This record gives sequence, C-alpha cells and structure tokens, in this order.
Amino acid sequence: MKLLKSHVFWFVVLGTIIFVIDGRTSDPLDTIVVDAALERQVAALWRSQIQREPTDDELANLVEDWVNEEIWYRESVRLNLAEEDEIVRRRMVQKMQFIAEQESELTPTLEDLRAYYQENLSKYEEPSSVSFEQLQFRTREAAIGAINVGGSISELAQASMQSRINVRKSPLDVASTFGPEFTQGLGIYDVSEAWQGPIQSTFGWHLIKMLEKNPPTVAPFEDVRATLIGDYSYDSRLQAQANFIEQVRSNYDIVIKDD
Amino acid sequence: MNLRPIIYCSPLLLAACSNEPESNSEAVAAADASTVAQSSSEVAVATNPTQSGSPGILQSPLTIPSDIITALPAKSATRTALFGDLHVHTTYSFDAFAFGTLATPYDAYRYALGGTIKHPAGFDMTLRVPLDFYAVTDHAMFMGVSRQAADSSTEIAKIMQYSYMENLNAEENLVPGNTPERTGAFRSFLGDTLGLIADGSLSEDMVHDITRDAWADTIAAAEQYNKPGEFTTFVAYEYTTSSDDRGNLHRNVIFKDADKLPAVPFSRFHSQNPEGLWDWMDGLRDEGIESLAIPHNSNGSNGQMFKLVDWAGNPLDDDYSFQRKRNEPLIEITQIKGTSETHPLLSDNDEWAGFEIMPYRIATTLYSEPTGSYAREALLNGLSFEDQGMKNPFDFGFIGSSDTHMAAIGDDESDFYGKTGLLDATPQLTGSIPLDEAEGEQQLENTPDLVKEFDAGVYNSASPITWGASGLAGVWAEENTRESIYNAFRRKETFATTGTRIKVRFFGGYGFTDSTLEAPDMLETAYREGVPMGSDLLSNESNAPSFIAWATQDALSAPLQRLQVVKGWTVNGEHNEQVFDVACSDGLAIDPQSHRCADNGAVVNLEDCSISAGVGAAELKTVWTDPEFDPSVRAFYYVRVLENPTCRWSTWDAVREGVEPRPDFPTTIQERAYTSPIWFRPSTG
Repeated sequence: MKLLKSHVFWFVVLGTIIFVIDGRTSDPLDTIVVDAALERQVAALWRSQIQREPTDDELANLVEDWVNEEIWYRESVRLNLAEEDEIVRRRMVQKMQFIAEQESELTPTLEDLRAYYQENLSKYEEPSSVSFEQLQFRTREAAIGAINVGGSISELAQASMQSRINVRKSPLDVASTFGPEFTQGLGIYDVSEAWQGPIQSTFGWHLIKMLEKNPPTVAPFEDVRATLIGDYSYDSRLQAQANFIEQVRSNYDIVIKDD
Repeated sequence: MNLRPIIYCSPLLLAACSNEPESNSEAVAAADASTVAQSSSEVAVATNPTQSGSPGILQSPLTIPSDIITALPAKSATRTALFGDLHVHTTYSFDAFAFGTLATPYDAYRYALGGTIKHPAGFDMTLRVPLDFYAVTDHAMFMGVSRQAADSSTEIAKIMQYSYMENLNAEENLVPGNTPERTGAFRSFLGDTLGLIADGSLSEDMVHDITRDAWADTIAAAEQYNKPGEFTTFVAYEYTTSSDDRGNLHRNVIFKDADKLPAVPFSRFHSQNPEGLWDWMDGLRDEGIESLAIPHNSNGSNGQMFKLVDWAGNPLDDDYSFQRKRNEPLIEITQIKGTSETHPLLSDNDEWAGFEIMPYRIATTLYSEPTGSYAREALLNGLSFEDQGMKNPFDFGFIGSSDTHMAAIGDDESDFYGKTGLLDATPQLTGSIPLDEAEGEQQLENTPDLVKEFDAGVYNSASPITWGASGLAGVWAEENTRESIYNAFRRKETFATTGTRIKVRFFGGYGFTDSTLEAPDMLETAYREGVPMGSDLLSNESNAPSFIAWATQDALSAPLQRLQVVKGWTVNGEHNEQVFDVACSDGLAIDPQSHRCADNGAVVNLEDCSISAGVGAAELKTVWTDPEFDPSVRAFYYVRVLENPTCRWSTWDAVREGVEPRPDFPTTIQERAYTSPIWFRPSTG
C-alpha cells in the first residue's frame, strides 16, 4: 500500500506542477510541438489505413490535420466540454481504475496461485455424479408389480424417451432429464445389482439400478491453472480498486441533499 | 497478445514450463502416439507451437486417454438423445478476438463439460447442464492471426503495425462497449491484411504458419477432450463466405475423425464460391477424410443460401444436387442470430412463423430478403425439382447451435450472455434496458439510427436486440462417440431446439396404432417397421402413412403446450404448406377445421417471469395420419413442438433491472424443437 500512496501522491503533485506551469506559460500563447515522434505516429496510422508510406506532401497534410485537431481539442478542454460528457467521464474513471489496478499483482507466482486455490477450493469443485440404469412405468403399481414379477423386467416397462443408461450425470443433468424431485429421491439408493424403486419423475414412475455414486471432487490444481490465473488477477484487480477507494474516499466530503 | 503463454512461462513458472514436452505441432506431425498423448494434455505449450510441417495431408495419431473408464453398458439399439453445439468461436477467430475473447478451444471444451470460464468483461460463465458433444468452429480466414497482430512482440505485429490492434485486449482495454479499435479489428483487419499480402509487405507464408499452428492447436484441444462414451468433440471450423451483396453463405465444416486431417482449413480466401468448398471436401473424401458442411444463418443470406441457380447463375442440375447433398446433409435452423425455419411473409398461415426473426444480412444493418433464405421454402423447392424428374438439392435435416463468439454458449433465457463479447456485454449494450439518461441523450443526438426512444428512456437498437438465446443440436445416437454421432448427422436423425432440452422422436410407417404407442417395445417396432426423422418413406400402394410423434419437456424449463406436424407439398409446381396440431396439453381438443389445439391458457407473470403452475404437458405423444393425404403427391413432414410461453431474455434483463420490458419486442417466447423431415415419395413420377 506504500506504493499506492506514493502513486496517488505523485499524481497530485504532478497535477499541481502542471497546473502551475500551465498557468504561467499558456497565457497568452499556447504551444503545440511538432516533432519526429509525432510524424512517426501519424505516418503509422496512415500506413495501417492506406497500406503505404505517405508522400512528403501527404505527411505535411497529416501533420497539419493533427495540429488543427489538437487545437479543437484544447479549445474544448478550455470550455470544459468534458465536464458534462458521460463518455469522457466513463473513460476517465476507467483510466483511474486502471492506475489503481496497477497495484495488484497481475503476474501471480506459483505460490500465490496455490494459496488462492486453497482459499477458494469451492470455486473449483466438480459436482457429484451418478451412473444408473432406469426403466419407466406408467404407474407406481406397475413399477412395484414389475419388481415382484422379476425375470424379464424390462419387457414390462414402457418405452421411455429418457436414456436407459445414464453415465456420470451431475445432479443438474439428472434434474434436466428427469426433474428435480427425481434427483432428490435418487439420493437414498445405494449401488446395487438389484432393481430399486419406484421413484417418480416428471414423466412417470421408474425403477433404477444404481451403478455408481461419485462424491463431489475438487479439480486438481494443474487442471485449473489457467482459470486460476484469470480468477486471481480478476479478484486482485477488484481488491486494488476497493483499496484505492478506501484510501481516497476520506478526502471527499460527501454531502447528501434532500431536494 | 499471447497473454497465456507469457504468464505460463514467466520466470516464476519457468520450472513448470520447461518440464513440458516440445510442442503440440507433434500432435499433428509426429508418428509417436505416446509423445502426442503427453503433449496434447498440456494447454500451455499448445498455444505456442513451432510448426515446420509440409503442406498437404498430415497424420494426427489419436490421443491415448490416460484415465480409466469403468465398464458400463452404454450402447442403445433404439438410440438416445444427445445434445451439443456445433458452432463455437474462440480467441482464434478474428472477430471473436475483436470482441475481446481470450478463451481458447481448451476453455471452450472445459465449459461444455460444466466448467466455469470468464466472459471478456470479467464475469463467470457456467453452463446450466453440461453438453454431450461440442465442436469449436473458428473462422478459417486468418485463424489465430489477430492474436499475434495485437502482440507487439511478434514478427507479424511489427510488419502490420495496425494502430487498432495494439494491445487491443490488454487488461485495461477489456471494458464493455465498442471502441474505434474494436471496430477496426472487426471491419478492417481482414482487408488490411490482404492488402499487405498483395503489396508484398507481408509474406503469405508467415500468415499461413500462424493459421497452421492455430489449426493444429484446435485439433489438439479436440483430441484432448474427446472421451468416447462420455463426451464427444469434433475437429471443425467455419468457412465464412458471402455473395457480393453481403448475402450470408457461411458453413461449418465438421470432420468425422481426427486421425487424418488437412494441414490448413479451406477458407473464403481459397474460394468465395461454396462449390469450391465442396470440391475440396470431395477431394479430401477421396483421400479418406470424411467431412460434412452445415450452412447457417440462411436468414441473413438475402435469398442467396437456397437460390435456384448455381454460383455462375446457371439452373441447378443433378450434378450440383448430388454434390450439395453429399456435402451438406444438414442445415442449422436456429441460433443466436435468429431462426431460419420460415418467415411470416413466406408462411402466412403459420401463427408461429414470426419467432425470433433476425431481419438483417449478417454483420450489416441491410435488410435480408426472405425468399431463398428460409428452410421450409427450400424444402418445398426441393420437391419441385423432384416433380420435374430431377434430383432434390434441398432434402436436408435440421440442427441448432449457438454461434457464440466467447467459447461459451448462451442458450438460457434467464442467463443470456449475448454473442459478441464486450460489444454486447451488458443489458444496456444489447438494448434490453434503457441507457443512462445522459448517455441516452447523447446517443440520440450522435447516432439516432442506432437507438430508439420509449417512455422509459433511450434504448440501443442495433442488431443484438433482435438476437435470441438459442440453440442446440440434438441427435439420436447409439452411444456418445464420434462415430455414432457423426453417423446420426449423415442419417439426418437430428433435431434442433431453441436452447432448452426438449427431446423429440418422429417415425413414419404404415400401420402404427395407439397400441403401438403404448407397447413396451414401441421403439423397436418403430425402427423395425418404420423410418426415423431424416428418412425417405416410400409409398405402400395407396395406404396413408401413420406417424409417431412424441416429445418430452426439459424438466427444468416450461412444460409443453402443443405438438405439431408441419407438412409441405407441391401440386403442379405450386407450393402448399399446412401446420397441424397433433397433440395438445391438458386434454384439450384439436379443432378439425383449423387443426388447432384449444388455448391452454398458460401465461407468464412479467413482474418476475414466473409461469402458470399446473398447465402444460410433461410429455405429448400420438400416432397421426395425414387427413389430406394423397398417395400421388410428394410431401415432407416434420415435427415442431412448442413449450408454454416463458420470458424472453430481454424481459429477464428488464425484470432484474426493475424496468418495464421494451415495447417493440416480444416479452415472451415459446421455446421449441424441430425434427428433421420425413419425405414421402410416391412410387410413380
């Protein structure tokens, strides 16, 4: 945070110096400097649009245009036109936020990432999953009847739109296929070779054969490293913005008026 | 900008980087399968390959999966519905990069499996329910080149020096909204780069090398995530061409396998004419490389996608039809940029024809002429060809997909991310809620054509508000493998949904009855004695066919309202079409004159988007016989099934914001699914 303080400090100090110098030198005559760097800059822009080098005449015109544009710009600044402009305001906010974000660690170390991963394990959790076989029946009684009959149980079932074999499906996946109630009801069945049920879905009654139940797992660090870098830098940028506001807000007296 | 490799290979992580095997270029060129299995499992190095391969066909050995799969019975003779997306752009697409997308093909596949990835604006995106299959389809044109152009340390950036590309997607520039730089990266990048190649300042080889590497990485990502039995990926890309009047002729090319592939994808730069693409695909097929192309956004083609002449302007002949069918068995009928089923001007007796109509030619605000742009009319034109004793160039099946440009699809109305990254990252940018007052006034003054004013304020009114949270590709496959799913594409045993997971079956045959429908072996009977969606049904003396139509709802979305059969037929060259409701929810009856279900009264509460409870059907199922069947007349039949109404994504945005939904767009939609058609072919004529 020391560095942050110094950033803000220098921001204010430089601003003051510029203000003072500007106040002394700009009146009555403003200076617009045309140098080689500027010429290179306008020439590069031309190249990217026209696909060739400008001729000397063209370059002179480009510079002339630039100078005129600069005058327009300075006049607009003088008239404070940026003041009421929402787009300018937003752009300035973004620029300031970016300066504040410089305080965050954009290139985390491996240790940073590991620590972040440990603190945010729940973000990288992969849901539980189940694998099961299902048969669908029109009624609860038909399903119970089928269990009691035994033998060729699938011949007693209805044709089902839903897959008979469901491999490693997450709870939401099961809910999308069979409905939320079915998903909840599935929890009580243990892995077994036997047909179990009946259990109701959005579409009817089912018998199920639970093939496997996998608990939720946290994705291994290596698998999510790319995501971690993104999450880490996103979070640290937000943190840096919050820190900045915390530091600077006290400089402002916020007056709430009731109109 | 190569952010990822730079971060990975920063000094602090050097140890991790240096441990990895050479590069993913081996995934394409090497013959040693074990090396490939290792290298393709590493994301970091795969984005920075050093390709020195020769042009032509390269061998890519299959990855050996390192994990163990418990043996579970998985094949189903009567087939299972699988859902996927065959239209996904990542950071390798020049436009996706212009929109701020940094997500890679690897990120895309992780997302499809249920993982969370970042939107360019920084928020998280997670799929409601994981998908069964996914194909990354980046634009072939200058694939991967934008990324390099934005990274001033690359050789190509030093040559290009496009001011708009400089640090385009550096962190400080990842801000919602458009900028002149993003417009430049979208509108000028391709033309500027072609210009540099034309005047000799940029070598074609340098561009090709980058594209080759991006393509190799795309293949490596697909190989890494393909997991037979559980999750299928396809090596794929988008061939992005258009007519001179900006009529959209885009297609996605899907390869069946990955063991042998072209070293670079065929693009518009090789042929503006799609017939050139087909020639290339035919050539590959002769070398044992099987692929198919899926046209999309015919709605934005200005009549070009299904026009009745070839590229040169000659009438279509049988050679053309054979080649088109051989290469394009399917079309994408719904996606974010609107529906291509039919248009109210073409189907004035179809009350549901005006669904998510996107009126523009793609990437313009020019009007797109409906004639020649929609699937149903093309199917009818196909019948007319047959009436004249010619081959049918338009007997295609249907799929849906998203066309996302952020690697993550947005098919959930309540959680729609748009499709152009930073450009439509917020509800104000899409136009679903009013702009802030000051900004609204400014826009009204500066760009009056792109905004509209209503009571609640000024709204953005460019194309994003005409887009929809759609769609998905459904297939009926024996198992979740490339082989099984690709074969379903070829059989056209496919269906499209507008984003929800409606499942729908459709069989045609003779002698199906209500008792067939109720029998435990109904599906075995249907496959044995009938044909599924996507097939031809041959005439059986003068018997009328019977159709099994059957749909179930997405258990997490709204119940179903009605099941419909859409019929098209031709008499003396004249087009006819009729929508029949064939099953209604809530025990409601079908009016025999109008062929319509009585209204089930389902409504949506626009205060909170809640829907009527206890109205609608979880399942609709019937055996249907065409009451106007004529055994001498060619016809096609397809099923359309409609959910009860739910909030449109723009209404969800308004509800969250606490404002009224904007008045010039529907507040609700009826999510739906479409099966591929079944064609009835009379025995004579």
